[in-house]
Amino acid sequence: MLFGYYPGCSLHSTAVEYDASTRAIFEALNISLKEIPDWNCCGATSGHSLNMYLSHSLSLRNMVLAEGVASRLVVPCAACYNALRSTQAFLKSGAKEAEKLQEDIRFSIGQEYKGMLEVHHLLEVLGTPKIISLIKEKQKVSLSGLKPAAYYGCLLTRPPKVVNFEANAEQPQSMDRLLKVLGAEPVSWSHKTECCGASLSIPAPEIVEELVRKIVQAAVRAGANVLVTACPLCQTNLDSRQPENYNLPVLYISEVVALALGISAPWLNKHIIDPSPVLKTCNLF
Amino acid sequence: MQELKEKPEVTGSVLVVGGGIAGMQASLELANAGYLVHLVTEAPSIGGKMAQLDKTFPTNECAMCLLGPRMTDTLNHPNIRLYTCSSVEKVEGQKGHFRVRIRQRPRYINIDECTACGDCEQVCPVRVPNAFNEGRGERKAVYKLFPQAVPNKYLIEKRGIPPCRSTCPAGTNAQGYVALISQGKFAEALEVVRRRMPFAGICGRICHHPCETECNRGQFDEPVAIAWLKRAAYDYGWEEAQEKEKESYRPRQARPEKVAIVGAGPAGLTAAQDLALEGFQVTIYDALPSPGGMLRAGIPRYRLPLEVVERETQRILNLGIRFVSNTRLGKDITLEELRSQYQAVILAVGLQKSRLLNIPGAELKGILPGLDFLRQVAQGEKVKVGRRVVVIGGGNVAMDVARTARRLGAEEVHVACLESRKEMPAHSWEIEEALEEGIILHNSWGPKRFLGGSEVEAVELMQCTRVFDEEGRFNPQYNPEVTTTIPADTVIVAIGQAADLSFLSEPSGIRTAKGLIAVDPVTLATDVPGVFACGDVVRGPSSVVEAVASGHEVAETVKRYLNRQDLKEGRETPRQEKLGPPDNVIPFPVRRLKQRMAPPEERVQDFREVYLGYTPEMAQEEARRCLNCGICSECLQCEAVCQKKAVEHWQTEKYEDLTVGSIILAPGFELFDAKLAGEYGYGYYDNVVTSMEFERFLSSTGPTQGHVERPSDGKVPERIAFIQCVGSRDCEGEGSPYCSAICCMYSTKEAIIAREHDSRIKPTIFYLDMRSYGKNFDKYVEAAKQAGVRYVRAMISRVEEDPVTKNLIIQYFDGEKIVREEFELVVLAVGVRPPQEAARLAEICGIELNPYGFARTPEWQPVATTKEGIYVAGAFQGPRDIPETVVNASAAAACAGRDLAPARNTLVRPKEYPPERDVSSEEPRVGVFICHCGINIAGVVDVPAVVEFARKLPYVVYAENNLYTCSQDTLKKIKDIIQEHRLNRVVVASCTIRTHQPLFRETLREAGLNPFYFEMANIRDQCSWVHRQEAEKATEKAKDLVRMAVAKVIKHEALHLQPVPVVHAALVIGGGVAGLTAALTIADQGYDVYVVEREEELGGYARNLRFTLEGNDIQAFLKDLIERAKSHPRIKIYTSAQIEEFGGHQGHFVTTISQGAPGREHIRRTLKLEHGVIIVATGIREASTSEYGLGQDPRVITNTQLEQELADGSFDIQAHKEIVFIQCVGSREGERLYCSRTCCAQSLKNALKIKELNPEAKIYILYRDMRAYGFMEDYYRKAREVGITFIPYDLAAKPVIRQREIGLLEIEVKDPSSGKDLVLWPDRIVLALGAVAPEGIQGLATLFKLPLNEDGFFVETHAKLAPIDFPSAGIFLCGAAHSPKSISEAIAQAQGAAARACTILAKDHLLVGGVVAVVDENKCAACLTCVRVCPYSVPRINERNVAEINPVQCQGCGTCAGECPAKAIQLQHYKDSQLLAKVAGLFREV
Repeated sequence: MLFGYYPGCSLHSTAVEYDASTRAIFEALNISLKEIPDWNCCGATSGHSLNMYLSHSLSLRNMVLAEGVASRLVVPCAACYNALRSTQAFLKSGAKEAEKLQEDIRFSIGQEYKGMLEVHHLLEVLGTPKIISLIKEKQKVSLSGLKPAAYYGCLLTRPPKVVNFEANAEQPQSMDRLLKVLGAEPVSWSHKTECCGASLSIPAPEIVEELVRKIVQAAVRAGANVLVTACPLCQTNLDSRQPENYNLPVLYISEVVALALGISAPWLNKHIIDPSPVLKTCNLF
Repeated sequence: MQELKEKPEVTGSVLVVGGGIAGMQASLELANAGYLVHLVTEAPSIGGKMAQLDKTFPTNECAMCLLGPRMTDTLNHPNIRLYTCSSVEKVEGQKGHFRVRIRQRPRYINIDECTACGDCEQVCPVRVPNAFNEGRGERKAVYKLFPQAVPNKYLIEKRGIPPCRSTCPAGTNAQGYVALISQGKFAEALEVVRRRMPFAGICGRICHHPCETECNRGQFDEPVAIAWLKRAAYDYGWEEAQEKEKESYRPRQARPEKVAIVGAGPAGLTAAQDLALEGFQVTIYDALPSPGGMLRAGIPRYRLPLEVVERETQRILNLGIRFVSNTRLGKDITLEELRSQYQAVILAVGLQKSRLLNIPGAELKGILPGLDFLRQVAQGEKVKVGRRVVVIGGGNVAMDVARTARRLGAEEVHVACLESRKEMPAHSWEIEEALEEGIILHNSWGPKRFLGGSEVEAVELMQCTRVFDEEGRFNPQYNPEVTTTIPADTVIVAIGQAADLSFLSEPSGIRTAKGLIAVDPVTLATDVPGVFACGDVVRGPSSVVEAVASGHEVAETVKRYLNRQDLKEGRETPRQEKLGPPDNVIPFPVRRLKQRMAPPEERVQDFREVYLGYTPEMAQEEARRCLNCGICSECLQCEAVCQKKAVEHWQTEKYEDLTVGSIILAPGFELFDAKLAGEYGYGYYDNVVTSMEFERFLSSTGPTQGHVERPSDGKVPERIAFIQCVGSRDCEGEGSPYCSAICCMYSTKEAIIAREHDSRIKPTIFYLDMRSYGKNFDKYVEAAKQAGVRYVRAMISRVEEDPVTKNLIIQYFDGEKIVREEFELVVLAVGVRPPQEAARLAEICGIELNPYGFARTPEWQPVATTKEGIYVAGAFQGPRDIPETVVNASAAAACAGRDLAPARNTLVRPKEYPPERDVSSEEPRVGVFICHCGINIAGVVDVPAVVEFARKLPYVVYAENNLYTCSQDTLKKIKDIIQEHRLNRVVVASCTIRTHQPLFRETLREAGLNPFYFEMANIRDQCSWVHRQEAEKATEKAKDLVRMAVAKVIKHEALHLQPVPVVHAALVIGGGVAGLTAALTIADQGYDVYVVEREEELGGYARNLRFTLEGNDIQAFLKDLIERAKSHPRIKIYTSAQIEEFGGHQGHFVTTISQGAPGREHIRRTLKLEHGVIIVATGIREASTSEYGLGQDPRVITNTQLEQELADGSFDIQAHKEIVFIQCVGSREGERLYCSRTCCAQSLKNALKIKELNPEAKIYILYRDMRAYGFMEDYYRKAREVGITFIPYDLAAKPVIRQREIGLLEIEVKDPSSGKDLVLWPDRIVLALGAVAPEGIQGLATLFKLPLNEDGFFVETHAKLAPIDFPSAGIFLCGAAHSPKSISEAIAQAQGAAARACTILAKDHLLVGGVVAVVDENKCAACLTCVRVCPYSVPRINERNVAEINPVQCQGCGTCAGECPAKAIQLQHYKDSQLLAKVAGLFREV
């Protein structure tokens, strides 16, 4: 099995632990990940907020490069994933602008997009029955005692017709299912797809603090002892902007899977809120 | 011939598809009009969605009480044939002559025999979610759809053979015995196991259970422990089952033929059992001293204790089977000898030889063959093993050998095998248990040689690099360079088994293949006639359950062989696809229960059993995990218990071909799947329910018996939120863009009823527009507000759940700020979807559907489809409420009947009653039946106490209570009791005579009693409902009411109805769209019609209208309609006419009209018209107002004026750049509290028209609620899309109009979305004025004695089920005279009224009279009092100078009887003596 791999800027900087743990679990599962050569930034929020053309062309370039690597692409960052899927939907719409964009790309990089690429988010890949049974087979440690609040954020599930891989965009289940299989007891809560405030963390931290407060309080009230995310921005916001007296560790889904596979995790000390006390109580550290 | 072809003969029967209220109404209408009706419904009962409702709006009546009589009428109608559990498969032919194929699914219950006693339901072990209660609560696999189901018959639900059963080689009915164990019925479970598997105790312990691998529960968590449960059936059911099977487990007959079986293993014993039960003389030969084969001599005791083997083998031998021990075939007896002594021989010798290794050192001492080792140990021989034992082999025998060696004292036991751990053929649990016991495993090693002197000392192993080749065949490869050596004192080789076929001598003729006996794979016959083989010797090493399967097969062959039947016929059945888990199953999260096991350190000491089995409680708990994939488990408990032998599990589908003249499709509707609106968390949050679930919570037959409880904790939810438009008016999500038309009202009803059930409940309804557009609906909503229901106009975008309290949090904008509010229960008002069968039905019938999947119907023919002769009724045409459904159904019946008029009365037969008993000279014998009405009565009144009381009353010879006295089975019971106890009077104490008296009177007739020997006591409406808080006093009052009824009924007399001829003509009052449509519909059926119109011209109010929302030309339609009416030979039209006098009765009315000459109104001629029925279609007029400056400023006009301008082109586009519409002018306030229903649509169509003419025009519509119900929502959406601005206003802050000095027209309105006051300067203001009843309607109503409501609209008999009837028989209502409505709605209603009228016109005679006033001429003083007071002007002074009252005309109101000073007039059935007896009864003087 071979997947193309698009880490995006976050996984090379603020979310290196997401990158490292993702690579580690794929290695343990004997699945090859091949990073796209010379990938570029997806443009993220500023891109699609200010210039759709720029946003789509940045994604399209990545897609062209990815097609040269493998037919399937894994994207761990929810924002990158959202950008790629939006661009795919835009191309599929058959709009005139989309044709123009294809032409421009052909002109500027000398290659064209064949339209064969499957873009998957990391969570989607981990949630397929085949990979789940592979993980189950290789599992070394049970996650019993871990009560995660599975947090999907908004970019993974919205807009449903463009990006979503869940049966019910409002009540996503794939992460919960995966965690349950590994022995954890994911809590039932209502804030799975709340917005974390995303990039407003820099210009308007007070908004993000308020949003994070709601999410963290809801998770704690539901009985969670850890938050699990699949997005670097969510992780950063939730890890860094929790209200006073709250210390709920925030892990990436890849880190949790790595724990179950018994992979030693040097990256766990990178978190602001130290997850080790909780993990110790579950015999995971 | 030519003519015949052009006019094909029509068939006088109609197919009605759907058993809901629409299907029933259409069926009854047609059946009463002289047609034979075939009513086909998918459901097991008629009743449809209405049966699920608790109450109906806007009268809060019990839905079931309304429905019950209608269902019974339908079932009992002699001209209606009912097909339940049926569907239409094929439709061919055309209008007048369709050929239809009906598929009837089996009910598995013979409905002619079923008495609905419920015994089968009691014993059925299978519980499934109750779909009728929307999945809340449970029902059994054998069930009735609901308590009052019609027909009142059970049925069994089957999905197919569950995978556990289909996977079992022996076909053991696993679901069956698991279900019984879940009920603690171990003996019954054991009996089910034994139908296919004689070794429950053995297989319960050692079966490799392929059933569990296939178990669907495994998809959710872990498979059900099927095998362990089988053991529990044996462990806890043995004694009882032995007792029970004494009668059944013995030869069914005695047959002389003799059969020999060689080998007493599981295969041989099974064959022996089957053949012995058939009566054959069976002898089993075995080389061992005792029966059991490998069960006894191969499987170690720690897995299978000897007692179990002995008990189960002895049970079989007890059938009279001769067992010959210690006899080896080929040595002690030959095959030829057997063949000469027996008619058939079965070889079931098994595999007795161990395979051995052919490697250096194989001859050394201390190397043992595995099977011999096990056999010796099992037979109690002293077998010594060394300190270190090495076992070669990776299969189950190797595990048995290793673990046995360990128990014999070996300190170190090694197992070496070629396979990797994953490839090992041994079962995983065997390996794990071996490891627990300290066995050391060496995977991927093959034996190279044995080392030692004379005795073995060690085993040298070489690395095995692969076991199987690319094609999966066993083809081991080694690397001889890599070796290891394990020291060993004993080596046991367990690498496989082989057959010992030494008994087969050369000339036996029996063929062998690959060391096994070759047989036919299906029949298991060898090449030699009369010799058969089964078990391992045929198929190689396999399991006990496969041996049993093989034993059954060979027994079947031998049976056929001895009966000289074909050995193969019907035995090769194709494999069926695996049955998945039931739909919508949400298994409660319980993991498989582990059975108890002996601890490893103790169990290796001896041969005690490792598995300890379940306790009975554990077994029941584990069994409850079963998902019941097949629904019915075919355990056959129902069959055993049914006294009437009505259970028929063998039933199959049936097809029936019918010929019909017309088809009516009324398949109803579905509800939106609330899970698709994920934002509300339905299916995820416990306390979010759908409106239909809530309806079931409110119902006394629902899962909570009518108590409002929230699912998470059963507490009363005080704060309940209703969220409207879930799945409706939804353009983006998974819902439908249209409005579902009924949800605003049903939520209002549910909120009111919830509060009535528990006054602590505080309901809040979150809505977008309150669409209470129907008759009296606005008043209902106002009443709800008064009763404490809160309405909040807000779109709810999501529901949050508090994970601790399970309360739900809703956030909304209240116009000023964001509010977060917590609720204990959320009810989702789910919308209406097209019926599931819609697409299939449309295809079969060849009709078109609209884009939303509902039937496509032309605007002016609301019940017609795109195919002639096929009509639609009810919600299949689009979302609608019950009255509109009834109206539509009647309309469809009218159209279907119109097509078949020449064939009327050709296929029907009159209902026959038994001859009436003359009881006038008998002493009264009264039977009293007291109704629980679910909890409606019994929840307050102590019903048994009332029964006891009634029993003691004079002349009462029988009294009893019933859950629902009106249910079909109770009615039948009453008939039986009347006959059994020779009753001649009947009293029912239940609800109201209004709905139920006809039903009970009919029952009396059917029992041979005059129907007037009946009296009803209303202990519900007049007692339990009004005295909820005072149960004791209510019980006393109920007793009083019963005593009064008994006192009166004693005095009752038989009354007989008089046949009077019917005048086959109709009078239609009003020549508008409704009147003309009704006239044409009746005239087309072959009856004369008189149309009386007050105006000079026909057309009515529609003359003022120009085009519809859909864009159709109203004037063109009207012109055509008038033309058709004028030219119809059976229609006579009187314009400029008015009604002068009116008299007569249904069947024969006489109406005097006067007609003015054209242009000279004062010159009138008078005409007397005779007719059998009357249709009132007096229509409506536009309201007038002086509000908002209408009539003062020419820039302020009415909607209708605007429509005229737009239609005739006089509307100046350039001068009207900005237009403001104001809705609800004068409506829904002050004097006029009703909604005019049509104005929203009118404003939308005019606004859209302006936008079409000038897209730049700015249009504002100021509204209170946009009532664009149903598919009209599309136009509302379109209006918003084209830029029309909608601004809601509140009654408290109506728009204000000012005229500025500069000539500007200024209008100010508060915009709630911004909170600001908005000022507009339009060029035109258009007022939606609404509609009011026409002038003079009061006079007309008085003349005809018809009731009007306070708004001047006629009051129908019943808002729900009789929306076009009047209490006065023979008079019907349609069009806007009923309430404001659109043209297509008026057409449907007119057609419906025509259908109602035709039920009378179709008859030659009507039976009238009965309850009428009778004059005692001797007492009459001719004082004229009666003549003056009679509201119907019936009495007259005759030639004998006394008063005479025509019984046919008398309405039985009793006014004259009350007024007559001489007491000369008595009202039959309400005579003074009867009423005085009743009064005396009240005062306990019976």
